[in-house]
Amino acid sequence: MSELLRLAGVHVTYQSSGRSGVVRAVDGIDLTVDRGEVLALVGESGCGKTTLIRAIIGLEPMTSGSIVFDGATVATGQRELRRLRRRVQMIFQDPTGALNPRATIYEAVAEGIRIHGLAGPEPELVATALAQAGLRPPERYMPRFPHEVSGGQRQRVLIAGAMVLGPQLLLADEPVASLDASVRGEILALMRVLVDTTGISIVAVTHDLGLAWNIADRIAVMYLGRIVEVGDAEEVLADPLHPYTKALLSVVPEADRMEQQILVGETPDPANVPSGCRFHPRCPLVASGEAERLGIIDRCRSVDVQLVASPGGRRSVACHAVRLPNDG
Amino acid sequence: MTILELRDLHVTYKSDRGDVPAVRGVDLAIAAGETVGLAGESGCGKSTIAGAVLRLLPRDTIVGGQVLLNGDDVYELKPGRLRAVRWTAAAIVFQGALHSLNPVRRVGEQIEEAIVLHSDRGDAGTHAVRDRITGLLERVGLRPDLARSYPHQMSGGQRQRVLIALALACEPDLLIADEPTTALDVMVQAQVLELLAELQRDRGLALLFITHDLSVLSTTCDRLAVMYAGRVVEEGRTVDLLKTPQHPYTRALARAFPTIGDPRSRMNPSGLGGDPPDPTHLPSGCPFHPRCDMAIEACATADVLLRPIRPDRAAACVHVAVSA
Repeated sequence: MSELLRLAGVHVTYQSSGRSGVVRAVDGIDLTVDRGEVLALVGESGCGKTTLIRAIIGLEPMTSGSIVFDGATVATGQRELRRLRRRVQMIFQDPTGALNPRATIYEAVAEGIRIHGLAGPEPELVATALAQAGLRPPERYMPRFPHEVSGGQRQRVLIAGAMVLGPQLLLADEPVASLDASVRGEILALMRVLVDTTGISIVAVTHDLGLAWNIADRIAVMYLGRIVEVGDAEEVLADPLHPYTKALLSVVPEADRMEQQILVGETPDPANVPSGCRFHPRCPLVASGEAERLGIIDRCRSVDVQLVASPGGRRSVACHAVRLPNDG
Repeated sequence: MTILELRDLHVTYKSDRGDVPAVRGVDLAIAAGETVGLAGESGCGKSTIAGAVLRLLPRDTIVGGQVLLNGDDVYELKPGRLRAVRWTAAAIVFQGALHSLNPVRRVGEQIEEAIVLHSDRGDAGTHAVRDRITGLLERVGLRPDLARSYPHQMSGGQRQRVLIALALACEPDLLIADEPTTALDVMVQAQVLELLAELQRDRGLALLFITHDLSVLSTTCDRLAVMYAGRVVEEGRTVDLLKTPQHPYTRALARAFPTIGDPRSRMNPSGLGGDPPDPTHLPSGCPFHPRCDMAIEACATADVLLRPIRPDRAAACVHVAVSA
């Protein structure tokens, strides 16, 4: 598989009006996405995962770092961004809020075609995109308004509106979080089919590890603006190495598979990033005394830890306590 | 001891489009110290049941059957008695804590109001009430000084805890939690679920847990009732029901929540085609038959009611063998 997207040293910081000054929402991210790949970007609210994908299409200004898309560095001029946004489309969590209630489904899908001046007969493009998103026959849905279809169908309309432009990358921000369980599976199946049939790539931002298990090839776990673990979804979920990944996995509610590690408090404030390993104030290894026994507690508290890749490069973890196995 | 009992509960909303039968004959009982989960998709009637228990539904709603709270029929109560029953006999924690709290009042004042108006535990401003507020906040794992905060100054998890503190203010026998963790993050969800389980253990609370998220119910509930189109279509002990779902709808719902590590769901998301039925135009026969992969001809005409399969287990499906 060849590389479609490469993020290097991406930072997004804000000046805050409060006492703390700088908010480090995205604090140095290196990440690649291959063609035809689903990458799940997981973490708690406030970890910067949404800010990161918004930065990819220039909706959040990068403070530093670079983005290479399809072999070319992404420039930040308006014209370049517009070209990029045709090839990188985004879908959101709340399909109801993302659709204009007074525009028909036809209009919702055709809008992108008009904005980007796509060549070709508009009605056919719209019909094809609707059918591709599972709204068949498309003619039945075109004249309807968003409130006349179900939540799952609205999410399909948004997917059709994105796919009609023939993008190479779909950024999906919690694509199924607001949907009923029955619909969730249907939308996830659609996303996987789109990847497998069109070769598109998807970056799905989610706090739902089940989504990653269901459709993702790779998984990247974010904590407080950084990636703390990344690797093949199956390996990371079967054998998490970072204590944060372990904790996240332990609280997935399912018929008691492992002992829960419920972290106290919520994600700390990106305006006030802890010293050393940013996870150390909540880290179960620190709390249990394990870090002390390993003789790394001082480093946990004072040395900022970077992602270290396994020798084969397939797995990376940012933890003082982790020695990566050789994956050849 | 049975705290809540629903007997053939029917709820029909009035709307411009005509009558909307949201709940169509539900029987349910919850004993002290027991957690019962009510699962189902949007529009299946599960939240209507929460509203019906405390008579919180619009005035013109038609309610049939009986709601017995500690043996009293809630719909026979005089207004004064009803007000006493709310909060003291049963309290509700809703989803979306931001909308359930008054944005311009400190959370301590809001808890105080519940105590003063609904119980005889003292007047506003007294030490007794202030101590009680402190105790409640500590009970739900919040610092007592947060009583002086406004809702917007708190995180989502903290606000949800405030709602639980509010619900506990008058020591109810029954707590109804309607999607209490749906708006929360995974880690905060785990914290809130742990808190609810703890409260229940310590206080012998009866808990009615309403959510579409079967995986949440699987870790919290003793018994489950799965609703579809205003009726319970399957009920039983949680582990039993999830391990061997008998109704095709329960099976589809259970499959929709993957078990991480289960090779059957890896790269294989599972859902359920079609949409939940419009309550004003329910399908003929079994209301689930248009979406059912096991439907036979008879399903389009014959409505199947909940039937016992074995002790502690019932399902409403033509394929289910009735116990002798």
